[in-house]
Order: sequence, then C-alpha cells, then structure tokens
Amino acid sequence: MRNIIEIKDLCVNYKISSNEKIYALKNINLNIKKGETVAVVGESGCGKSTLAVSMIKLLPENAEIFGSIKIDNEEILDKNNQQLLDIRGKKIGMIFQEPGASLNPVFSIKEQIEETIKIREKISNKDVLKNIGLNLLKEVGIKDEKRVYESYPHQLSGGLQQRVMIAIALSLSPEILVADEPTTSLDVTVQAQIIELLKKLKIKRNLTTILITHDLHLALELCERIVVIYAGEIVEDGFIRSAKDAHHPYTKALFEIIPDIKKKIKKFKVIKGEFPDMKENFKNCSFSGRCEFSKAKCRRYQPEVVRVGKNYVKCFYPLKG
Amino acid sequence: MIKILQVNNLKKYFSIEKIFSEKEKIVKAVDGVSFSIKKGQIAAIVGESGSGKTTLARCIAGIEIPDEGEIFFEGKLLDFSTKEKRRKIQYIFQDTYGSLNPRIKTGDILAEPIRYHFNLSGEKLKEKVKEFLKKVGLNENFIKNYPHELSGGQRQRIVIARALTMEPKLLIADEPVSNLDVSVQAQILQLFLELNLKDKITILIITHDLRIVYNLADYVIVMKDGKIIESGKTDTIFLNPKSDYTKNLLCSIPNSPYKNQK
Repeated sequence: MRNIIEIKDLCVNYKISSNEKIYALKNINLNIKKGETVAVVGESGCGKSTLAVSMIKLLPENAEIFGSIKIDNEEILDKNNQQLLDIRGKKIGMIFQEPGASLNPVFSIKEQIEETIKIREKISNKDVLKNIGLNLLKEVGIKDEKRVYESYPHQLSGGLQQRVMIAIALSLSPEILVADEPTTSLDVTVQAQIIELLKKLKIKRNLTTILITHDLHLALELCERIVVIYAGEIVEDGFIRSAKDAHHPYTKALFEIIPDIKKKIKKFKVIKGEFPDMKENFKNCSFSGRCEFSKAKCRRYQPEVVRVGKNYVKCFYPLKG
Repeated sequence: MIKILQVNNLKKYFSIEKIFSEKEKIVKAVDGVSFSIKKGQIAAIVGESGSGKTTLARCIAGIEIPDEGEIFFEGKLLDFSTKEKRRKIQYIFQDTYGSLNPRIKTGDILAEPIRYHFNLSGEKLKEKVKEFLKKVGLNENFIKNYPHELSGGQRQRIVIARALTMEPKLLIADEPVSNLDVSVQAQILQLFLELNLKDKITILIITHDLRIVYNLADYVIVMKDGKIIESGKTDTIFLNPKSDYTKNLLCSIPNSPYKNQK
C-alpha cells in the first residue's frame, strides 16, 4: 500500500513572547498508508492537536513550522491558502472536539451543510443540494434526517450535533478523516455510537482515519495502530493491543493509569512527577524525569528511535513486553 | 454497618416556563428515588447525562430543596438550618475553575472556612491551612498562589482541601475528574481512596466513567430519567447486571470486555 501521508522531521513552535517559545512538536516522522486507522494518543499539551491541524496547515499566526508534510506526494507546507483549498475538506476532512462550538448557532443545519457543497463543488441547483445533504445525514446514521435538516444546532443533542459535523466533514468526499477528540464532550453511550459510526464509515468509504484522543481505550476500540506522543515527540508507534505490547515505559504507564475493568484492585496507579515544561528543547529523554526505569544515560542523552518487534520506540531501554 | 444517609421517595421537578405557550412543561429530574449509603462506603451514581444524578446530589447537599420525600443523615431528618449540620456534607463541583474565587490566594481560600467554623486565628490558623494542604498532597508553598497559577489537578486538590476543612462526614463529588487528564485523574482518585481509608469519610461520587466506578466504589446506583434503575454492590452490578440499561452502559465503555458477552 502506498503512503497517503508522509510527515518528515516536522517541528512546530509557538512564539509566545520575543524570547519564549513553546516547542509543540519535535522531529515528528510519521507515515500513514491509505486505508489505515491510526490513533494519536497523549496527555493534553503534548502536541497531538497541533499535529492534526498541521496536516491541513491550519496553524495560528504565531506558529513556526519546519520539515515536510506530504499528502499524496504533494508538499503541504509550500502551499498558499488558495492551493490549500484542494487539501482542506477535499483530501482531509476534520471533526473537532466540541460539536456545539463548531456549528454556527444562527444557521440551520441545511444551510451549514449546503454552504460547503455550494461553494466548493459549485452546485447551485437547490434540489440537488438538498438531496446530497439529506443523503449525507442518512449516511451518518440520522434517522429523522428531514427534521434534523431543518433544525438549528441548539435543537439537537450533542450526539446529533457531532453526527452533523461528521456529515459536513464528509461532504466533499475526503480520503482522510481526522477526528480530534470527537467524543470527549459526549456521554458514554453516545460515544460508543459515534465510534461505531466511524468504524462503519471507514469501511464504506475506505477512509484513512486518524483519531486524536487522550483515551487509550477509545483508541484501541477503533484503531489498530497507535502512535503515542509525549511532550511533542512520538515515543512509540506500532501495533499495540494491551500493556504487554507496550515497549516504551510511557505507553505502559498510560495503560496502567487507566483503571482496569477486568480485575478490581481498588487502587489507582499514578505516573509520578509532572508533565515537562514545553518551553525547553530537551537534550535528554523527555520522559526520563517520570520514568520508573530511567537510568543516568536517559537523563543525559536523547534516545534514538529503535525498532522493537513491530513497533518503533524512542527509548534507550525499551521494554521487552 | 450504620447507614449514614437514607433517602426516601425523593422528588424534584423543574418547570420550564414557556412565555408563548399555554402548557407548562415539567421536567421530572428526580422522580421518587430511595436508597441508602452505609457509613464509610464509597458510593457512585452513574447514568447518562440528563438522568438526574446531579439534581439528586444537589438535593442531598441542600443546594436544591426537594419537592417531596425525606433525607435522613446520621439517622436524623435533614434540614440545613444550622451551620453544624451544613458542615458535615460537603460538595465538590466538576468545574474547578468556577469553584475558586480567582482573586483570592489559595491560602486564604482555605483559611476563610477554617476561621469561620473553628474560630481560629493567627499562627494556629496558618498551621491548620498547611495541614490541609499536606493532606491533599500539596506543599505549603501553594498558599501564595492564585487559582489561575495552578494546574487543573492542583486546583481540584485545593477544592478538595477546602471541603475537608469542614471535617465532613459525607463528601459528594460531582464528576470530579472529568475535566482532568488521564494521568491526573488517577492521582485525584487515589486521593479519594486514601481519604476514605484514612479519614473514614463516606464518599458519594457522580460519574459517567464506569472504569472509575469499578475500581473506586463499593456501591453503585444506576439512574435513568430521574429513577433508580438498579442499585447494589459494585461487583454484583458489574458481573451480573439485571437491566438492559445497565448492560448497555457497560457495553459502551471503550474497549469494553462486556461487548463480547452481548
């Protein structure tokens, strides 16, 4: 399979004052094959959302971006806003965390879905537009699509709003769908439904899906390949199903802090220490301060990415599993 | 074990007034709920949003006045007429930022209730504040910080410390970790476990995260549309759920082991 996304040595910094920068992403290398389902997992502030918006070059003005992002062999970072229109929406569809905030409260769902198609696909026939819109709503599993189509965002539940957002993201038939914390503000049962929907759409449209989440179990639910980010670096990338497959100590720790539902222990494991300051550019292993296996070498030097089994791990002493 | 809390047939209805429509719409937020919690237990209320779990908790804490029903606390009918009674039930809210006054330093946030309830002042007051900071795992330097200078997890610890200054018998926590990162969640939950174990505080936690419930709670109450669907010991509910609603909740847990059993 060919790579649909090729990210090489990507660095993103945010300037926050004349002499301070936040190093949000450091030397990210990531290839994603067409049709793959990948989860990007990490704590808040680790740079996972920055990675998502970098793919469509939708970064704020204070951001500096280096390296290369190729979508279908086309370099994204060289493109201007006009050229990016071919990527945004058409190649990569995006769903954001808060559906309520992403939809415009003063326009009906009909107007918001049709606007995208009208402008981007240059269709002006009202019946055709309506037909496309209603079919999209049906596709994302909305049963009373006619009512929803005429509704305003506040009249819909969070789950329905998120389905509408997915419909809009799919309206230009993208090949890649990036979902940035799509279920965080939703109920557990609704969350399960949305994940089920993403699974169905992935197969039906042969979508390459990238799920950005802090919830490792949610990632396992949808994705085979897990990319773990810590402090702006990819620390592990590979096929992980449980704590046993984790080769980086951080991935293992992430598994352990989420309460187990198979075995009751009445104890919550914690990762000691605090998330590092992203204003520094690390010269050592970013996780060394919190790692239970860290040795002197980890605190002094930056580890290289090594291959362990099927995974790529950025660690001097990867776990055997 | 002694019951610390007993709720009998509790009801709380809200009416939504529509200016231009004749009919008044009534939301039955809590609709005839009865249950009890034993002393020293950790109990959890679970359910989807809109199931009435927060309203129920707010009634117990005296923030809402129930329309019908009785609440017995330590065997006595609950009324919030005296500050002594108010003191024993403390409430922790989901939004840590909204719970703390942004203009007051954390030291003063903790000192105020202590001064009011225990009549302490001067050095003794300071000592007491530091004691409570230590209890929630923060060092004494934090008294000089404003809430916005703290991380979400640290703010939640301050909120918990403030609740503890009242030496409560029952601590109600409404989604205490849902705004926090996974790694911070574990720290706060561990703190709850320790408070329950060492200080013997009864805890009533409201959450939609069943993974947390399984490892934290002794007793689970499942709510839907203002009614209790099912309640019982955690192991019983998780291993042998009776209602379809509970089964559905269990299957909705991401990467749930229950899914295969369906």
